[in-house]
Amino acid sequence: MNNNNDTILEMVNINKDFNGVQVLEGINFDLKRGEVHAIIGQNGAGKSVLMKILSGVYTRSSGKIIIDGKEVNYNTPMEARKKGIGMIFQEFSLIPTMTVARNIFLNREPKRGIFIKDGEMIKDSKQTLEDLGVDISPKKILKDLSVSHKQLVEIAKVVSQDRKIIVMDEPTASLAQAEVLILNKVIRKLKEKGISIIYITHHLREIFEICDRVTVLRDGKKILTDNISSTDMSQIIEAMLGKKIKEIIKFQTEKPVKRSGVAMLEIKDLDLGGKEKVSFKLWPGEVLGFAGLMGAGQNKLVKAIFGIHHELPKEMFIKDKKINIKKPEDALKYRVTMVPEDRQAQGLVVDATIKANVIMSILDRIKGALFLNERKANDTAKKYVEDLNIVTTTIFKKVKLLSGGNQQKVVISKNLAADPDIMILNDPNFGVDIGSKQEIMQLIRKFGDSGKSAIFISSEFEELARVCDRVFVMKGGSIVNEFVRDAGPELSEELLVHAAQ
Amino acid sequence: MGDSKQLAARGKGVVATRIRENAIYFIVVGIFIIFAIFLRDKGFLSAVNIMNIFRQTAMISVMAVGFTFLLASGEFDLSVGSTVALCALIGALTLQRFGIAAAIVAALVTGAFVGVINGALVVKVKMPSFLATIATSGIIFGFARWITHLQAVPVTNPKFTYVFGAGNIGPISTLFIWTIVVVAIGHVIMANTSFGRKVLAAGGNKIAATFSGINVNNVKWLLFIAMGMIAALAGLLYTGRLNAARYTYGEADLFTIVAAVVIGGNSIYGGKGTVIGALIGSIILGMINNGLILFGFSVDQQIIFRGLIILVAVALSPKD
Repeated sequence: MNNNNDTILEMVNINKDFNGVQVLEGINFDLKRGEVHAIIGQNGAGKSVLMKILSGVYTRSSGKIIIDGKEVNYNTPMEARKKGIGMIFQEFSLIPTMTVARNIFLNREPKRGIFIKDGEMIKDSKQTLEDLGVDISPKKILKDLSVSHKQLVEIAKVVSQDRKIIVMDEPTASLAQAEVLILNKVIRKLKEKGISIIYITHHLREIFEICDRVTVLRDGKKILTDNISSTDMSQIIEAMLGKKIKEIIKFQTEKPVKRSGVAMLEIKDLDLGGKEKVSFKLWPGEVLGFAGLMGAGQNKLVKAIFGIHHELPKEMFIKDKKINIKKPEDALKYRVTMVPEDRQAQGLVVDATIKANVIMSILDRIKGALFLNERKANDTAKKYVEDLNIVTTTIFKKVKLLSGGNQQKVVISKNLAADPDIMILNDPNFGVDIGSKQEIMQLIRKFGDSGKSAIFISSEFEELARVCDRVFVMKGGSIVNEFVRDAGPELSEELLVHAAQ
Repeated sequence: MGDSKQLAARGKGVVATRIRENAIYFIVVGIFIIFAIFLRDKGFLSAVNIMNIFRQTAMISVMAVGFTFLLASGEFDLSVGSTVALCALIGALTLQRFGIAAAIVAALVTGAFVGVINGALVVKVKMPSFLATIATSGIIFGFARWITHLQAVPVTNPKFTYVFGAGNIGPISTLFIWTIVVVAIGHVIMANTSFGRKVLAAGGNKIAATFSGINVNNVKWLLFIAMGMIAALAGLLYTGRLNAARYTYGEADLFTIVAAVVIGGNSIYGGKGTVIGALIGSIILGMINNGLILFGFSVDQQIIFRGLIILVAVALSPKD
């Protein structure tokens, strides 16, 4: 361990066990001033436990934490904050009904007597935001901001509190490509100010753009710490997974899609407020991707199909029959299912069991004259736990106890159980570990190969390029480009990123 | 894998939760034993007294079943108490003129009507059920006072009073039978039907349930209607047992129902539903009430005691 003044934080020989079960084993970690240090690892590797120890949420079983050369001891998040440690979580700590300025100064408002000095607050907020190179009005109500802007406000809030160390837990998870660039700009500004950043992400590509060093954890142990410049993607993946994997697996069909005859789904003149209305056909056996920056319309589009934005004018045909889907219940009747973008808030009852979640959309199909057929329900749940390789001891485990990847597999099981002809997947790999991601991509491909159709949205264009038969690129509520696999330029991430800008 | 380690760590938590979830059964037996020992000279254990406990708790138990469903779906109905009174009065008035069958229909239709309105306010007007039912509660209570100008409506029909509460089959009160029937039906619906699962899904995560093709609005609406009809049944039971309908029926019941349901292990945040638990909760409260009377506490003291018990029960109940 180096002990010069360049090092702001050292975590020495950190151990943590829960009820005697070791989850962190002798972790050594150090962070330099003005450094962006990535922590990488699969779900369950120990990243979040380590960060929760750093931020005072958990207490370590043994080990030392040294900040600025001094050993520190704290047991609550409040004390950790006082030591200069700021956390930016995936779930924002912001109040949606308050203005940006009030959020940034929440609970430490500048006051004159008992009155809040609103003007000063707005001015200071504006300064902070400008320093970060962000153009957001401090007077805006938070809930009116886009997700990425909320995230930037969250960062501004932490920055304005003079934190020396900022932990960012998957900061780009909900951001589209262009917004990641803004975030990167902000991170560089923070570095210039001498702030150190611990950067947790599943997006390996990002760490090569923004991070100085990387630490890889696996099974509660540190596998490596290295300068980014002296490592590469396959080395990191190998350290993470503990075995060599092929760098990029393409999930391509052997059976080319036949784009004639009866379409599985046809959308005509869907008005998403863009220059041109959206019309397209989805063919049997096709995995159709929609690429676009956040707010380009792909999200609205699938919600319109699924009956959530039923008010948007359009014509819909399933297998050449004109239909109207006014609510999700109708969609299910026409065998259209959706894996929503937010699995916890929209996809799952997290307090319920795996079984309860899997059978949720087929309750009426597995009932007898009066009662639910429990055996059928159990068999269905067991089948999907097995087929999708959901890691659990029993189908009666509560979903909230599963890892992100396994939770997402439960959502997909629920979809598959409903035996859909058309499955919509809205960013299914969001916050999912690499292993599960591969499996999910494989599932989507298999679904297409079985003659069914999938609509696939992802904020990671690389995923679209790997699995889709065809990708539409959207901009401002219209389709601006169409790429077909094996026709024209090779379907690649670069191609899609370029087209979406 | 780190996963398996964490799973093992969580295993212990599961056991602890199990014990906590079943604590209610130990508590009910515990209280029973304590009272049996300390009140043995005052007749706590006598068959008459035991049946009395069931008789006194019947209406609460019955309504707790409906309330369990509503709570499981994530909704409240604060108008149950006043619905009891209104339905009792309408039932009794109808009974005087048109006979038993008409009286039952009139009471149930009234209850259902209240449920339709409550449900519509929540599902269609999108009011929070808490507020919507406070408002309707006031309106219903006003009606109940108004239709008979605060007068009680006497009921003399012996067949009616026999069926609804005053009668006994052998040593068993008809109130006890009503309790068992309603609880059994409620339990089976909750535990063994697809409708029960829909209720739990709706309360567990409304959006996920909707995305799974469940018509959450219809489920909730149906529950409000069922709650209204169960309150009507409770109104008939009060009327039969006390040989008259009064506007005061059900007045203090909301408090006791919520207590019974929560003590029974149901979450006020929805997504959980145990009908048997609600019954046990109701019996615990009934037993404590009975015990306090036998100990010689005054009514005021009983009420204070009941409040304390609810506080303790809620403090001990799982928070997530």
